[in-house]
Amino acid sequence: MTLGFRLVLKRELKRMVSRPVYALMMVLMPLGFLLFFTTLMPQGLPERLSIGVVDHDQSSLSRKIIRQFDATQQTRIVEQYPDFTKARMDVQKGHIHGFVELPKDLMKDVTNGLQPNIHFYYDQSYLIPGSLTLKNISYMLSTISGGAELQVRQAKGQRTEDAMAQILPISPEIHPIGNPWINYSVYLIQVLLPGLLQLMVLLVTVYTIGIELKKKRSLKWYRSSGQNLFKALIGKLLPYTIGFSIMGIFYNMVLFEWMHYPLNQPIHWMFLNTCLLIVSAQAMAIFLIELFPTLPVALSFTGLYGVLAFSYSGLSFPIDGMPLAMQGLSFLFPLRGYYYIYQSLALNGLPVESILSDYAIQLAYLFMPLLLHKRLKKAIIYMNTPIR
Amino acid sequence: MKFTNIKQAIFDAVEITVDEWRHVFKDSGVVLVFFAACIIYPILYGFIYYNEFYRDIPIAVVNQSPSSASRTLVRKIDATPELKMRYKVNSMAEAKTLYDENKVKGIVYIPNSFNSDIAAGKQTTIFGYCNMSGMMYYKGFYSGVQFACLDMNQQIKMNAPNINSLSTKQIEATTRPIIGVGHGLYNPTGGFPSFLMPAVLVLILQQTLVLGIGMLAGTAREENAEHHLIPSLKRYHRIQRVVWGKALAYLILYLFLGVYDLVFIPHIFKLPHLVSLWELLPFLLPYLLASIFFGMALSVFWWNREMPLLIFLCTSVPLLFISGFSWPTSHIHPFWQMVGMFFPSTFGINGFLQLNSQGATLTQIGPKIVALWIQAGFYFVFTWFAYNWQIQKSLKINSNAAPRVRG
Repeated sequence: MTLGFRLVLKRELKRMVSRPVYALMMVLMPLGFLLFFTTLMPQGLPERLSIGVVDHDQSSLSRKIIRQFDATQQTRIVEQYPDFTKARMDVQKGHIHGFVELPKDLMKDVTNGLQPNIHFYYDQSYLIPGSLTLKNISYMLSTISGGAELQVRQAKGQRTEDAMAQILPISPEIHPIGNPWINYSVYLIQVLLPGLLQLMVLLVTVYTIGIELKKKRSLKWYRSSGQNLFKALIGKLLPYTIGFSIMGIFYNMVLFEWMHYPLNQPIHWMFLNTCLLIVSAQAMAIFLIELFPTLPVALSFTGLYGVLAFSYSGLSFPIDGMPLAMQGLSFLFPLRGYYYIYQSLALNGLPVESILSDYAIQLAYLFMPLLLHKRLKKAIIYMNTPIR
Repeated sequence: MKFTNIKQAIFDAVEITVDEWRHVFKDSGVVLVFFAACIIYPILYGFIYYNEFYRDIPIAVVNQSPSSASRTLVRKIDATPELKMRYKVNSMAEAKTLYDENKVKGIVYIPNSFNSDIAAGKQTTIFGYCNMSGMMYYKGFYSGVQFACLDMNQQIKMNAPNINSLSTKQIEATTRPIIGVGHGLYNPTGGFPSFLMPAVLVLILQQTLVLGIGMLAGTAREENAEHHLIPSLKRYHRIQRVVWGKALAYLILYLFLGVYDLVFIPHIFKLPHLVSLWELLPFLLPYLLASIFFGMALSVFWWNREMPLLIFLCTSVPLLFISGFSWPTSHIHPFWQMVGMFFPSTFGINGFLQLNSQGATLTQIGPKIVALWIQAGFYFVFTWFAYNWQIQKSLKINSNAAPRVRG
């Protein structure tokens, strides 16, 4: 067969099917992660969070309050404690996420208009249950407080609307844009799955180039391309581009078509987004192995880089909230651009014209390998990089 | 006799330990994983998440009610630490454009009827629209708007015509019979890094151990002529000496790294650090041992040094979530809860969070420590059998291949 692109491609395909690690990384593991994240959190938001109560008052009012807490969807009173310390210890054990302490003489004080304080405690060391517990308990207490007030006013003959206007003159209505159910797993999966895919693309790309160097076959690979680095790389990486793109498109189909995750634009824009992510990850991987043309070092470093991408996606903590010096590094990660495009498309439903420039930025990563390609070429031809 | 045997055992173990250290430091890939990851990564993360909170979320306000009341509300919203009014616009369309251009992350809309409703004693609604791409935005936006409205509501009630000539205190009492006072336990700043970093630090220890041990084993596998884990040509008499010797090598290294990651780093980045060194060690020891033996047990499956990096590294993120640190374990699918029990990080992350962020005592996290010891024991036994099998296999091959030169 003539030297060139096609020969490289054929050679690579033969390698791919003969080694199980590729099937593992390109099919089994991505599917496994998809299954894992879609089944990990069966509910969107944890409901029926366990809380406790310390009742020093033991009055009909305190019992009414306890019943109200238990009746809601959000919280569940699992135990009553005799004192603060025992309740706090159960928080430490992880048994409850928070507790309410009803003070002595609660009912008496409310009746006499003395404005008693009800202290409640929530565990902040686990962020999600902690903030949910805070939100739910404070909401319940203000409802109860408002409810008590409403009752008094109704007893005095005031109409409900008028009473509500005096209890809560300004009522804020907060609408989340794009994630209407405030579903935590929707929010997470959209970065975690592409992030894992990107990580696997990075590792496999570095591996498939580096293994040639390690086994001292790189010259043969280079020669089969007709001494053309560009053809050699494209021929080698194309099967992976196609394979991972198919997997990425499958991810999108499962999430948006099957599971009906929010998406405000035609799905092919997400396909494009995913494919660009894969290609730009491959480009970054080539750059990384140019930087360290030794397989184990390149793999380790790439792994560290790939995991760092999760933090730089802007998912957990907004990038503009980071210290300036760290913000600059965010441009090294195509996952960031991916997430931004996803937000605009899926959550905010922006017109596609406004994000075309962001798509173009993703393409810019393709130029990264040009920076150090001579270094890689030397390593391939001379095959003198240390194995260790 | 027995004494000599014990002396011999100790010498052998020490020799193996030192030998293993030599292997570790000669291998640049392993050094990168063990040390760069454990030392530099936490610092990198520490700086990325240096700001505990995201303050001053930029918002746009659409105020269609030309009144002092609405302007007061807008001032109150702007005054909250969470929100910052960047733009004041006249219509929702303008606000939406700003939002689309990513200049603001949220919009507050005050309708025309705002002031007249309040004056007439009718309930009025204001609307907030918030970017959902980050939980931090929603949380901040929600708190900011709620707080401003609450404050304003109190003011309105206080200023309402006092027809019954009640005293200030009485008015307050009728409008708000019960006051709920919330106290956050542990993690006093309630910030995201204080919550994420400890979990990540614990996980890094396990992952780097498994990866590094795997790489070393893979290399040994590759370099050895028969592709076996332990060159059976060595003179060690007992497998457990080999296992213990290697484990000791990693353990000593990682005791230092562990203290660096779990005590020093939280200290310099002002994360919760309620645990003292002496309290940490009885927890760190079983965690490291469990991770080490887990790594050694898994290493029988790697037949070259790249496999652990390719395969195991990707499990890092799922393992973080399976531990239940962000999503309560009680709400995780039971199947995955079970899977999580096989990994030392599940108990390690929760145990450390309780020790360090919640100030729990060792007795309180007792069950987790016990679980870690059980895991350590289980994986030790597994490793022992796996090594044993390897040696037997290579002995058999050796004896078959032993050249019997005659004549």
